[in-house]
Amino acid sequence: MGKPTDLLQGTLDLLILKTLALEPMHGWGITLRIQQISGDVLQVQPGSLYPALHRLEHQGWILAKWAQTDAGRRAKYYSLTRAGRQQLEREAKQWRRLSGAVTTLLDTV
Amino acid sequence: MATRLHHRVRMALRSFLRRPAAERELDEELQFHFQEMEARKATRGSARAKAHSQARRRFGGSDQVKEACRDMRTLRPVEDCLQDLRFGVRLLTRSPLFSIVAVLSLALGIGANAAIFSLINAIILRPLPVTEPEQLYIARVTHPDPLAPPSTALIFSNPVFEDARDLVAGPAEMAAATTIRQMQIATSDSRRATSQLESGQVQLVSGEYFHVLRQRPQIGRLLGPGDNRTLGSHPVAVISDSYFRRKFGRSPDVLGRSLIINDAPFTIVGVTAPEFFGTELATHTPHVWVPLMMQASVRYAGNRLSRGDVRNPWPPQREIQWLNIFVRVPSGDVAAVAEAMTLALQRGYRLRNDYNEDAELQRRYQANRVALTPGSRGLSPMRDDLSTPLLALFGMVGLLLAIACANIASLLLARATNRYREMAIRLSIGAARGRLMRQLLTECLLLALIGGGLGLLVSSWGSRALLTLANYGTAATSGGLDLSPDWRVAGFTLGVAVLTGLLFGMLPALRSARVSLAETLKSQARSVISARGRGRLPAAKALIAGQLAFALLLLIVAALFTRSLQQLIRVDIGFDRDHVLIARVDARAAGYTPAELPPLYRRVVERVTAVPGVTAASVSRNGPFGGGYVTSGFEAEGYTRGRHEWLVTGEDYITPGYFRTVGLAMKMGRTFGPHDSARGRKVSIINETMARRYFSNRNPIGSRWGYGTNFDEDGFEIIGVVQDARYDGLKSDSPSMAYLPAAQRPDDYLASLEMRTAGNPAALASTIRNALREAEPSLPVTSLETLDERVARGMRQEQLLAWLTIGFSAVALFLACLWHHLIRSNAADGGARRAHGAGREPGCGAVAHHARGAHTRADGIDRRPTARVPCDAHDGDAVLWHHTGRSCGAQRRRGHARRHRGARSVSAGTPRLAY
Repeated sequence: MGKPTDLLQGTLDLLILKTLALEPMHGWGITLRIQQISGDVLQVQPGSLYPALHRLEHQGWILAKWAQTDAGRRAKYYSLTRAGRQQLEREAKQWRRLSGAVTTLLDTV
Repeated sequence: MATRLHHRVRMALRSFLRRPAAERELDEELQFHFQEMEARKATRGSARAKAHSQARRRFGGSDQVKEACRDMRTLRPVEDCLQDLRFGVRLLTRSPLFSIVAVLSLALGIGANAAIFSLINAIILRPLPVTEPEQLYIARVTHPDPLAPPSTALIFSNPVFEDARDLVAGPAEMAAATTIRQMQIATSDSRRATSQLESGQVQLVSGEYFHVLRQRPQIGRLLGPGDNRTLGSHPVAVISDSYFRRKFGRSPDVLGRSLIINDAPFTIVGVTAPEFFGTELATHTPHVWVPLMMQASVRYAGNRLSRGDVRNPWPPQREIQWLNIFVRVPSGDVAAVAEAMTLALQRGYRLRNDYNEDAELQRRYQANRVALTPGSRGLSPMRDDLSTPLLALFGMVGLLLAIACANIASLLLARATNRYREMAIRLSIGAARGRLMRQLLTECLLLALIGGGLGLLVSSWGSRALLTLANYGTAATSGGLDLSPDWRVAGFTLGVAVLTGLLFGMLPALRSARVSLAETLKSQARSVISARGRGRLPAAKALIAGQLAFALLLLIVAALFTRSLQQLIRVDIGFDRDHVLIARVDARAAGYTPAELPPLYRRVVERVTAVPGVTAASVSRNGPFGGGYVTSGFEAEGYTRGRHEWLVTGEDYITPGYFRTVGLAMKMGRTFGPHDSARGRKVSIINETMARRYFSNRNPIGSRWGYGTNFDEDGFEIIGVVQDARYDGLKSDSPSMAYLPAAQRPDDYLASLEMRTAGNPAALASTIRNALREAEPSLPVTSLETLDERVARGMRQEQLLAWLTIGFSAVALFLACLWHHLIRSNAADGGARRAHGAGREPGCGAVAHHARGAHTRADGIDRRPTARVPCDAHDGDAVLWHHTGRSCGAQRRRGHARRHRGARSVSAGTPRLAY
């Protein structure tokens, strides 16, 4: 239960961390941002997003804080910690290596 | 890295400790997400309703999301466990009748098991409280000939002990000890006069005793080898902790004070450690230890195998075997030590005059070997006595617990059927099946552990009560038996409790977790039951059948025990058990010389016969049911014995009135008279068994028997044959007995004073005690009881077993019936509730029917509108129904549904989430 069906788990972590690298954001915001930037290719379901957020928080990569939205509503904002930033770099590097390898493979053969 | 670890721990603890807040935040966070999503759809022009359902679809069950989020918490397992426990407790308090009866029957069942186990632990399993008890061995003499009389441990003379000790010095250490004897002890010091005489338990030990047992003194010093060198010149004593406490109030100035033991003064040099109770787990534990060399001074005359002169000091005599030997073998090479001891034993035999002269004795003794048996638990007559009954009881209480288990299991099964709906709902809103099973097992374990805890209380009380009933109570309180629960008992109880919980919880849990989600939710409650009912019945029936079978088994055992008890009660013991009162006197301890004995006995008999109501009196060495008697090997004139046959007979020395007093009839010949005196012909009376066995082909009157074959000089002429009587207790037939006139055994101290009464003997007890005290103030009376009491003591174990089994089977039957009743009424109750469309369990108490279809699908709403009150209708979307007919407010206050694992989100308050 709660297993992401649309995205690989590790990839989702990477996307969340990357999205939060720009600015603190609430869950809904993260969903929108990923959807927009990916041109509606990546759709994050709450069933994947929130467990992932909670896990990342427990691992100390992101930090949660309640704050007001622009519209004046209370929402839980997540921001990247220092450890989270390092983790993002590690994961990004790994992803690049992997996707580069896959691309190379696809282009060559 | 350290900070991250720190962070994770903090997060884990925070989310664990602030669970309610975390739950609220999670709720709010998801609500925010959902509302934003809805708002976005709405601005994009979808109709509100459409947006709602779309959002709902996209959101994908907020409960599953929450559950997934909760799963991310580090301490989730602990959280779950606590939650299960809380829920379990709530369930138990919800059905108090079930819980109380279940917990009580478990407490009884587990407690009975723990009680028997703690007795087994204390009596059979627990080692002596000494260092490295596994190195200790007890020496026994074995004979290869299976026809030889069984050996006892008490078989060593002091010279053999000393030889053996010196022979194995190095690889092994050796100590000797006598049996424990009751002696007259007075305490005194320089300032105060000697206190009144009191009997106490004294054991004589060699100087190595305390060292071999690795004992340290509490104060002062213990006996050492230097305290046991010269005959009669070591008047030093060590006292036990309980004696120290009782007689001296733990006053440290006890050292140097004197103890008068059987008239011999001793100086107290030390006190043993509190936990030390000697080497014998028995009814009597020693109060005082004195050196072996003081045997003659304290007039020790305990058990022995003697061909020597018991009137002279025993330690130098090779012919008197009176010692137990304890060996500590640190090297573990037991065989070599036993070999060396055998050498010393045989060498000892060859140094004996009687051995060298007696070819028969040589033939008998030359094959004797020393064997070492593990002695880590000491010598224990009590263990030999109680082992079998304890193991039998253990089996019975096991059955009892099995019945309790089956009972609870069958009731839980019935409840499980009622809980299918609860389970189905919880499954549907995101609980895993494993999680449900764990929850059910937790409930059962909780029940079992509460029962086990109470059981420990029951057991500590029960084991003491059992011991008291078995007449070992005084021993337990005098410090011999440590019944306090140790890790073994605690572990056993815990193990039994957990096992019990798993046992009675497994079947219902498996069943509940197997519930079919779609079928249960879809169908009406009634049809669920009927569909499931077919599968349920065989198990429930088997359980009930099993209980009844177990109860029946217990009943049969009870009947068997009762039957054997009944037979024991009916046994004709020979003696007239209804009119005899017996006093034990100790003339030896009081210091009477053998020459003073005949007049003493005469005076005593005259005095008690003068008491109104006493019709006859006599004095004897052992008396009826006196707990032991002398046995001797003998030769019968005119009897040819077989190659391996040894003639053995019991003996008693009696004054002339004995047979009339104890109610034994003469069958032939005459009884003793005044002319059978020390100067007269040596005469004896034999019982029917002895006459039948050894004088069957001739008239026993006038025949002779003797310890040797020279009948003219040493033989006893048989002047009468007396009726048989049971001397070995109720269970064995009358032994062969020979009675000798006390007048012809002037050196023997007679300990038993029998009195025949016209009426109830117990009524005369105090009168006689007073009369004796008045007539012979210095003669200690150590006990005074009726023969019937003595006989009954021999049946106590059987009595106890019979009563216990009857009790157990009554409890078992009661439990079986009670549970049967409970299950039936529960089923009926459940049935009635189900007719209202409700489950019995709280989880079913409030069920949210999510979709609109709930109205039409929910069964019973049209038929019985009053039974189902809509609590809260909101937008026609979420309707909270509750089925139990309680008011909504009450329901909400209790908050069943909300706190329900898995049903957590189904709030009884205003629905915050649209579905």
